[in-house]
Formats: sequence, C-alpha cells, structure tokens
Amino acid sequence: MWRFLARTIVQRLLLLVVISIVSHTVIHLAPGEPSEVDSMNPMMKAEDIARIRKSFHLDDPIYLQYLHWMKDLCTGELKSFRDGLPVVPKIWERFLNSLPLFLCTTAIVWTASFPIGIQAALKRGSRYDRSTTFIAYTLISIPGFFLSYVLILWVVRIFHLPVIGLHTFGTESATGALRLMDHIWHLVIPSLMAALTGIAVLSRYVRAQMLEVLEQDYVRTARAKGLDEVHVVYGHALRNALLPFVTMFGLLLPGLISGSVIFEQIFAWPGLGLLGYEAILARDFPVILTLNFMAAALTLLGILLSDILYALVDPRIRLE
Amino acid sequence: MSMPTDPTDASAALTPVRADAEALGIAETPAQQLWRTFRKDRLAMLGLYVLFVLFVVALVGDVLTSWWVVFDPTTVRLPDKLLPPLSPASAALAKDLLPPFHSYPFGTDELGRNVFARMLQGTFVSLSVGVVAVSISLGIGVTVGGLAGFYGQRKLGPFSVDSWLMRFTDVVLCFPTFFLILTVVALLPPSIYNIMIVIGITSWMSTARFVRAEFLALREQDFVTAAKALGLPEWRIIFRHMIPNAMAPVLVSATINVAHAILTESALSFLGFGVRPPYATWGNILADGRSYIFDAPWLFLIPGSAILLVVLAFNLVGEGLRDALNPKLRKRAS
Amino acid sequence: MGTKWLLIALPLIVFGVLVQSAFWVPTYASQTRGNPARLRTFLRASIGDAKVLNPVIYSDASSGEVMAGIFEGLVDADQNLKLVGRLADHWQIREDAYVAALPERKLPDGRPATAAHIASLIEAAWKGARLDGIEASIQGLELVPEETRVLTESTLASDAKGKQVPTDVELTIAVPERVRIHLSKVESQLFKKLEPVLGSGYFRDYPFGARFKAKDPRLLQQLSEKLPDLLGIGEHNPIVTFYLRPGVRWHDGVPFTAEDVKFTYEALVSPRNASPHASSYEKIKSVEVVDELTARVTYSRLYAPALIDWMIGLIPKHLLDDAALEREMAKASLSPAARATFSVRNSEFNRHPVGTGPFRFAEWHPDQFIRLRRNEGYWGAKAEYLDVFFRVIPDYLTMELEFQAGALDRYDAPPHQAARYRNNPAYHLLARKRGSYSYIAYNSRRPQFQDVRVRRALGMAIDVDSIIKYVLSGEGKRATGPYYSNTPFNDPSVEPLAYDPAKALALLAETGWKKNARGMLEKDGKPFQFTLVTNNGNPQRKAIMTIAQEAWRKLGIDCKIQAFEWTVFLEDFVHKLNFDAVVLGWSGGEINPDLYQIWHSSQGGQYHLNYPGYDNPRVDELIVRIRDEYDFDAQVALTHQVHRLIAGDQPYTFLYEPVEPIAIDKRIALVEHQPDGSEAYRKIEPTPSGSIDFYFPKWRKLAQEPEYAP
Repeated sequence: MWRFLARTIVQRLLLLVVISIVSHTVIHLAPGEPSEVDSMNPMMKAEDIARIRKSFHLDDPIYLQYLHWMKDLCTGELKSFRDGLPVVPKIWERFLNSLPLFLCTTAIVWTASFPIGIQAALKRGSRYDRSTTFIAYTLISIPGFFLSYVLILWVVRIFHLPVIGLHTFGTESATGALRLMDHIWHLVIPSLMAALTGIAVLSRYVRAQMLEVLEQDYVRTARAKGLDEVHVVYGHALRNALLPFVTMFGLLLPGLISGSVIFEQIFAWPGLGLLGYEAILARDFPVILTLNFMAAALTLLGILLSDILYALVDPRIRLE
Repeated sequence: MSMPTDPTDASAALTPVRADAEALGIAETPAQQLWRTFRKDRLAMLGLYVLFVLFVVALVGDVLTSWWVVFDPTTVRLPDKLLPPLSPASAALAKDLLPPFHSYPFGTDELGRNVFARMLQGTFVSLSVGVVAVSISLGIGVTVGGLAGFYGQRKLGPFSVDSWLMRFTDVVLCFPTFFLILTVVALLPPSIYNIMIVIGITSWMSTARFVRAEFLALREQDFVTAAKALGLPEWRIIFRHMIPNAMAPVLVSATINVAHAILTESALSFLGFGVRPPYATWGNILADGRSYIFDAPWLFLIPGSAILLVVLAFNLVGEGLRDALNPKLRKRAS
Repeated sequence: MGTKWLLIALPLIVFGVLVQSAFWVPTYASQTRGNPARLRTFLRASIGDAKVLNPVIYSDASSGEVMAGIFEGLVDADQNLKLVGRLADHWQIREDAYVAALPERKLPDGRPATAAHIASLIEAAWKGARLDGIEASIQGLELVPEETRVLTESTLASDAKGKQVPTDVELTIAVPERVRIHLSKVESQLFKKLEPVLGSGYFRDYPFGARFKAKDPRLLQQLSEKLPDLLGIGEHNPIVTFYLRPGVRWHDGVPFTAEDVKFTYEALVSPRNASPHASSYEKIKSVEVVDELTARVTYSRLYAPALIDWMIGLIPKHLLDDAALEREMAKASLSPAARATFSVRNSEFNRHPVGTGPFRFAEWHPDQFIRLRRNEGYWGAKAEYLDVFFRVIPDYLTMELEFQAGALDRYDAPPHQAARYRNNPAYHLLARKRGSYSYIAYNSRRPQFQDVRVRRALGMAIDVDSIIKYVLSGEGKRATGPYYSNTPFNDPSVEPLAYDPAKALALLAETGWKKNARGMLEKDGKPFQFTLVTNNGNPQRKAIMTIAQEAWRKLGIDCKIQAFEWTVFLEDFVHKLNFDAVVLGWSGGEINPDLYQIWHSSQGGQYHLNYPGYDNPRVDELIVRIRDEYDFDAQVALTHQVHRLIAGDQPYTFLYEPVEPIAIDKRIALVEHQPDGSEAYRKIEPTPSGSIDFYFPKWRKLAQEPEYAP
C-alpha cells in the first residue's frame, strides 16, 4: 500500500507543475490591459498613462512574467494588478468566506440525500420513488441562477427579508446572538440553492448503491436467517453501500471554487468564486492564475485524499 | 426474421450481440430491442416528444426569423416596451412595425422587441451550441479513449500509450471546468464558435473514459481475437466492430452532455460572457431580463422555463437510454 | 433502529436551525430590531469598489465618491456651483508680469530694448495713464537680472526596444534680463496694451530658441512647441495667495498648515507618483509657504481654471513626505529595487487615508465595503450620521433587493422604475442632475463622416425625444453641446437637432449618397456601411445602439452594432482610434469651462480625449482664449460661442443629459438644530444645481417619517 501511495503522490505533484504552466500560458493569449488606468477622465494625458503601464511589468516577454509570478507566489510577494494588495492574503480571506457556505451546503446535501435515497431504494417503484426521481431530474435540469432568483423574488417581495451578502448591513453593533442568527440566515438561501443539485445527484446515487447492495447474496442470506428488515437494511446493507461514499468525500474539495461562481455572483457572497469572476473582468493576471492553480491543486488534493481513503478502506488495495 | 444478407460476409456474422440473438431465436436487431425497452419508460418518451417538437421549432423558428421574416426579433418598438404576454399591440405603432396577428404571445422586452420572436431565434442557437459542442467533445473523447483502449500497451518513449493519454486526461480533468471555460471565453473575442469549441474541449473526458473502458473489455472478447486471426485490418476492427459496441454508454453520456452544454452556455450568457448580439440565445434573453425581474417577470421566467424544459427532456431521454441499454434491466424488461 | 431515526433527525435538525434564524433578522420595516444604532448608520452602494483613496492619484468615480467625505480642498463649489473657500478662508489674486529685454531690437523711441529702457518706458506710460485702463492695477516695477534656470520637462521618446516611453529632459535656460511688473489683479490683455509703448512687433517672432540647452538635441527638438511657454517675451505669472482656515486638524490630530498645501502640489507634479492629474498643475511655477496659514501659488502663465483645480483634496505632509515614506519602507523591509521606485503610490496611506473632512476613514474590506466614521474634531458642524458605509454591489438588481430589504438607505433607480418608486409611500424619490451627457461620436478620419452634412443627417434620423421618453422614462433632457445645461457656460439659445428623417435623406442625397436598387444608400458604387460600438453593462447605451441602428437602417444605412467589455472597448477601440462610431458619455467637471483636452485639435492622438479628431481652428482659438480669460462674464461669452460652433459642426450627435432618480427611505430627513436644543426637520431636496449630496452631513434617519418644519 505504501508504494501505491508514494507513487500516487509523486504523480500528482508532477501534474501540479504541468497545470501551473498550462494555466499561466492560457491567460496571456488575451487582449486587454489592466483596467487601473481610467482614461475617460479628461485630466489624463498619454505620458501619464504610459508611465503607469511601466510600473506593472506589462512589457516583458511571457516567460519572464511567469518566473516573476512563481517567485512572487513562493515568497508571498505576489501582488494583484487591480489594487496592489498581496494575492495570497486576499485569497485566504475569500476562502474563509467561502468555507461556511461550502460546509453548510455539504451538510444539507449529505444529511438530506441519505434518507431520501434509501427510502427510494426501499420503496422502489412506488409513487414516492417515482416522484422523487422526477423531482431529482428537474433539479438537475433547472438552471441554478433561475431558481435562485425566483426564490429571492419571493422572499424579498413577501417578507422583505435581506438575502444578499454575508450579513445584513447595519447590524454591526447589534447583540452577539442577533449577529449569529443573521449570519446563519444569510447562509440559508445560497447554500440551499447550491445544495439542490447535489441532493438530486447524491440521492440518486445512494438509491442506486442501495439497490445494488440489496440484491447481493449476503443480504438474501441475512433475510433467510430470519433477521428483521430493519436490521438487514440498516445493520448490514447500509454499511456496505456506504463504502464508495467515503472516497467521495475527497472529491468534494474542488467544489469550493468551481461550482460557486454563479451563486456567489447572485448572492454577492464575497468568496473565491466571486474573486475569480471579478479578476477575469479586470484582467487581474496574478489572481486569475493563482486561483486556477489553487483550484487544480485542490482537485489534486481531493483525488489524493480519495485515493488514500480508498486504499485504507478497500482491503483489496491494502494487500497489493 | 432478418438474416445476414450475404453469407460470405464473414465479419458481419461475428457481431456478438447478433450472434446471441440468433442463438436465442429472438428476431430483432439491437436497435429494435433498444427501442422497445425505451418505449416502456413513459417519462423518457415524454422527453423524446419534447425534443422532437424542439427540433422542429428550432428549424422553423430559424426560417421564420431569419430567412422569410414573419417574426422579427430585432424590431424596436419603444411605445410598446415591457408589455406582458398575450398583450395586443398598441394603436400608436406605425403600420410597418406591427407584429403578426397584432399581438405579442410572450410579451415585449425593454426595447419593445417581440419576445416570442427572440425565443424562436434563440432556440436554434441554443440547440446548435449544445449539439456542436458535444460533437466536438465526442470526437475528441472517442479518439482519445479508443486509442488508449486499443493501443494501450504499446510503448511510446518511457510510458505506454495508455499511460500518456490517461495522464493527459487527468491534467485536463484537474482544471476547474467552469472556471476555465469562463477564463477562456472572457479572454477570447466574443463569438458563438469560440464558446462551442471551448465547451467541447472541456467535456470530452468522461466520454474518453467510457470508450477506453469498453475497448479494454471488448478487446479481450473472442470476436476480436477471431477477427485478428482472420487477418482483418485493425482500422476495420475498430470502426466496424468495436466502436458500434462501445457506443452504448457514449450515447447516454452524449445526450446528458448536450443538456449540460446548454446549461453551461446559458450560465455563461448569464454572467455576461456568452454569445453577443446580434445572436439571441435563451441565456442572453435571461440575462437581459434579469434587471427587469420586478417589473417584467415574464422576461425572466419564459426563457428560464424553456431551458428547464429542454434540459429536462435531454436528461430524461438520456436516463431512459441508460436504463434501456443496461443489460440487467433489459433482462428484467423482456 | 437508532440509525434510521438518526438519518431522519439529522436533516430535520439542520433545516430547523437554518430556518429559525429568519425570525431574528431585521426587515425593512423593523430595521432597528435589536440594533438601535442603525438609525445613525448610512448605507449606500456602488457598482465598483474604490481603487485608491488618495486624491492625488485617484482616477475613478468610485474612489472619488468615498473621498468626498474624507478630504477637503482649498476651495469648493457651493449649492449654486459658485466657488467658496473650504480649507482656505479667503484668497487674493494678483499678478507678476515679466517683459524680457531684447537688446538687439529697437524701441519706438530709437533706444535698444534693454531692461532699463523698457522699464522707463513702461513707467512713463503707467504714470501717464496711457495704458488703456491697466495702469490702475500696476503697483510697481523692478529690474530682474539675467539668470540660468534649470527645468525638467517630460516628453515621449523611443527606448531601447522602440517603444514610446515618457522621458525626462533636463533643460538649461539662459534667461535674459527682464522687467517685473507687479499688478494687483490679473490683466490678461497686458502685453497687447504694452504694444503701443514698446513697439507693435515686440512680442512677436520668438527669438529665444537658442537660449535652451539639453543633453539630447533630438529631444529638445521634440519640445520645440513648448519652449515659448517656458520662456516667453512676455510672461504672465498670476499669483494666488490663500489664507488658510485656522484650527483645522488632520484626522490624526496634527494641525493643518500651508506646508500641506505645498506638499500636495509637489506630490501632484512629481513624476514618481505618476499622478493622472499632474497636467493640470504643471502651470504652477511654485508654491511657497509664507507662514503657517498662508500659501502663495505662482503660475508660470495665464491659467483661468487655476482656482477650480484647487478643489482637489489636500494630503498630509507628515504622513507622505520622504521622511514618512522612509519610515514605511523601513517597516516593510523592501528589496533595493522596490525601494528605488517606492513613492506615494505604494504607501499604505492609500488604503488608510487621513484627511480633514467631516468623516474619517475607519476600515476597508476590498470589494465589500468601506466604512467611514464621523470626525468628532471637525472644524465645521459635525455630521449627523455616525457611520457611513460604501458597499460594493456589482449589479442593480441586487442593489434594489437590498434597498427593499432595508440593507441600503439609498438606491439609484433606473429610469423605468422611477414611476414605481415615486408612487410608493415608503420612499422619497429625488431627481439628481449632475454634469453628464451621452452622445454618439463619429470618427472624422473615416471618409464617410467627413462632411458635416452627413453627421447632421445621421443625427436628424434619430428621434432623441422618443429615446428620452421611452428609454429614460422621461428622466432626461436634450443635450445640445459640450457644456452641461446646469452651468452658465451652456448657451440655452442653441437649439437641439430636429428629428427629421426626410430632411436627413435629402442632406445625404446632397452629399452624393443615393438609394440603390436594394434600398441601401450608395455613393460611387460603395455602400454606406459602418460599425457602432459601445461597452457592456450599460442598458441605456445598449438601447441607444439598437435604436440608432434601426433608425439608420430605415434611411438605407448598414450599421452593425457591437458591445465589448469596458477595458477592451477603451483600449482597442477608443484609445487606438480604431472605430467608426461609438456611444459614450462624459461626466464631471461642470464648473470647469476648459475644453482643451476634449475638443482641441492637438488632442486628437492616440490615448488622448479628442478621439473623433475634431479640428476647427476657430474653436481651437476660442478654447485657448477661454483658458486665458480671467473675467467670468467674458469667459461665458466665449463659451457660448464655442457651444454654438460645436453644435453646428456635430462631431457628436449630442443625445441627452440624464436625470438620475434616487430613492431614499422616507425616514431620512435633514436635521437642523435649533438654538433651544430641539431639532427641526426638513425634507431632502436637490439643490438648484441638481446635487443631492450637498447637505449630506445634515442627513439622519429617524424612527419614523417626521413632521416637517415649515
């Protein structure tokens, strides 16, 4: 097993380097310059504008810019083009904002999917099963931004409740309990929206896994032995059905960056997705590259985690 | 009862599924069997009907809005702006600006344009983006997966072909797909072709994996060994025998990928990076309608529901196909 | 068994916790739930985050909005757009004029024109009242000996890779003997009035080229047009002396003095800071500190916008001068390369500004919000609000949602929503007018746009009144020319272009554009075709493009439209002069009559602001005269002429000046403290010049809509 793990880790590291180079090259095919210089202001002249461009290294060849970036990233000196602030602390701050959203979404998805999926598997073919199947397909098909706005419209128009952002502005000096509840409320709608697709997919998968496990011989044996249904299902079948989901945990990580761009934009949630979106609009090269790089790194980490969990959990690998 | 028409066509007789069918005495082609199983799934059939209507609407709509213009998507009628669906055209309009039947089935947008006309124009564009993008991804996926599956063990330098191709797939897989699409689409000049290509080249990975898996399995089958023994050229084996059998999961994933591509395109339009004017896609109409959601909710609800309907149809058909092609289920159904 | 109940209970608990939080949260009606401080907090939003909170180096509107509360300038515009003192209590303007001696020339009385001779002639004319009225302003004369002046000028030169980069050129000037005339006010016609005394050709035929030396003669050659500005035969040096307000302190407690004025000037013109506003201050010769509360600014030539330029926020010397920057560099432990280029631009100050205004900076979370707190030590009346937040909300729909939920106190409503907010009892709708107008600009370098009749025809084909009525829902006014209608520089008698498509066709026919078989306009076998571009994200501009395209299509013109992302649009199309026609707008600078950078023919290069390439020599001349004209009424007469000329030439199709509807919570009112300690409330209205924010420091939110004082 250790050889397996060592091999995997080395392979993933190599992939990481290739990814960083690829993502750096892609960006530089773009037109446009950093939007720092506002030339609609009648008080600017050409010499002023050119002087500003010089201070951002925009005239060096590509490979020099890549080396600049790598060096600055490793020394923590990498500065965003837009406002000159260091990139890594910026990303860290946004990461801390994305994290509660991600955790809440994951909590909703994972606690809700299992009962739904298991029940569908147990009552296979019933009206419950068919309707949950249909709802699942609908949830997968509905564009996330569409459903979000429909829900937002409803909540704001009828209840006049604030739904946007991390917290309700103006509550900075309120009591601690109020602020906590306010934070939780602001988490609700975005994570609910993000969770819907996840619940749809995961509950279907749970259902499929349960169905497969319930057909196995050992389940039939357990039933034949005279165990009551509850024990059979929850005592034996479930445990084995859950095995693949353990490895799925690792693959959740990339969701932190990738899936969230749209929802963060709709709900003005200042997380990593929104940071990426704004960086793209402003041609903020350092931020875009670092985010792409970090997303790929997270994916690799997730895969690695899955590999490790898989190795731990599946005895067949362990004996290799 | 259908028999192989040419008894001397040795390769045809070696198709395993047909051989099974003949042995069991069942007189239908795999396609017919597929269709029979598929038909039993009511939801999937519903999806299929919707898609059929969609294709017709797309073609007819493109004709009616671009070639023989009955519904004009670009005419600006300022006095009639932001009218709800099923409103009649106002009397203040000049004669040449009047819409067909003097009414707006889907209402008007902020410039008084006929939303129905724009939706018609958008149907063709949205669908074509989905289909072309998935075709591109299919092409790449089948090539990569097929090569990896068939020539997998041959060495190319320090690693095997399979290793190279799978590592390459891994690299592309690692990138956060939507973010990458966003990055590239935002940086390239705005064009419908760029979007199709970019969606295509970021979604071939699952197809490649399926094809590779199928090829790995099929390669060990007797009929391939027999074909090789007969001296059939490799390309013939691949194209005539292996690919048709590997198509099953690919077809399913292709259908679902079209749905996904349409969703991605509308998401891109929504974020402002999608297809630019003069093309009207559903994503565009949705994005424009967002600002008027309080004053003119139909501008938002109509394209959103259309996207939902179409994507749902594709998904249902895809799932139906998957169930129909699933051997375990098939045994049960027959 | 337990597992089953666990599986069911877990999601229910999660949902339960999430949903119950809704009952704690403040809504629009109950904004102060658990939070009475909400009444003293003002929340506003803008689409973009501020970039840099330093008046010397900022260039975007978002930064400007935030800084308006923090920084103050020497002067400011009052509610009627007249200049009043802010950090300057009052000021005096006088002039020192120089006449250079030209000994090789002869004066009318036959003597060579040495400084002494010139002085005697002028003195005689002065005492003898033969200077056509100017003699009243002359206070004295003196002789100034020869001297050598060293200056640094900036120009564009090719570097090693052939790119044009700004290069500094050091000039050594051998200044001849001169006569200095002290005047009690600026006399822009002085040299004209001296011509009868010194000879009619005295101030012509510039002889001083040879007196300039530079290391690189080619660069000197490039500067040849600027030389008369650097050393003239006659030189005006207007002098403005500002007497500063006593008792003003910076937000960190340090007293504000004239040293800060001088420092702000130095920071503005220093090339290391690369200030976008530097060009306005290059006419300043020097800023001297006369005493702690007196600053004297000497200009090197006539410059009428001088006072207006001192509206710029002043920055504190003690936090940004070289010593302070040294301390910052030491704390940050920078590499030598970074140290060499460290300037005001890199200072932490730009993220933590310190000013003198009614609000002080508190915190800044990038792309989220900036928070200001009331300045308790303000020299004027303290603001009513304790906290002001500038939130960053990148789209209008979200802003509206937040406004309706009570998380924003002010909402810039798009025109089509104005009616809805006007009729809603919970809100006040205010109509803000600020200097801005939208237009379609035609690139005069393209052959089809070179004839003025074509441009007029294109403008006549568009029904602008209908755009205002439908796109802006009536919230707007026709723009007729380059000056905003709420300023005195605008000539109200200039008529807007009439909507007359038939006449437009006739005009086009006059210039040779005739309809061909397919109904499209054609001339010499070529169709009338071009592309109209603008930027994304602006629904009004998008609507204008579409409407213009349709209108021109009816005339038979094939116009394609495209919208691009803002930076791409500016860089690839506008700056590179690579466009046929664009839809754009100007805003700001109402109080400034100087149109040089937008309309002078010399400003038609890449990256300059006269991108259509407008070239009318008469307008050029008038623009220069406006810059030199110190008399306000005379200036206004000149601007009216410019307005009429530009409106006649239609280099733009001037569209409209939008009125911006702004919705605010009805519970916000103007608070006036009465002598007996009580408070009187007045409704918030726009000022005569159309500004909403002028009385902002007096705003406060009350628990409910108040009774208004009569």
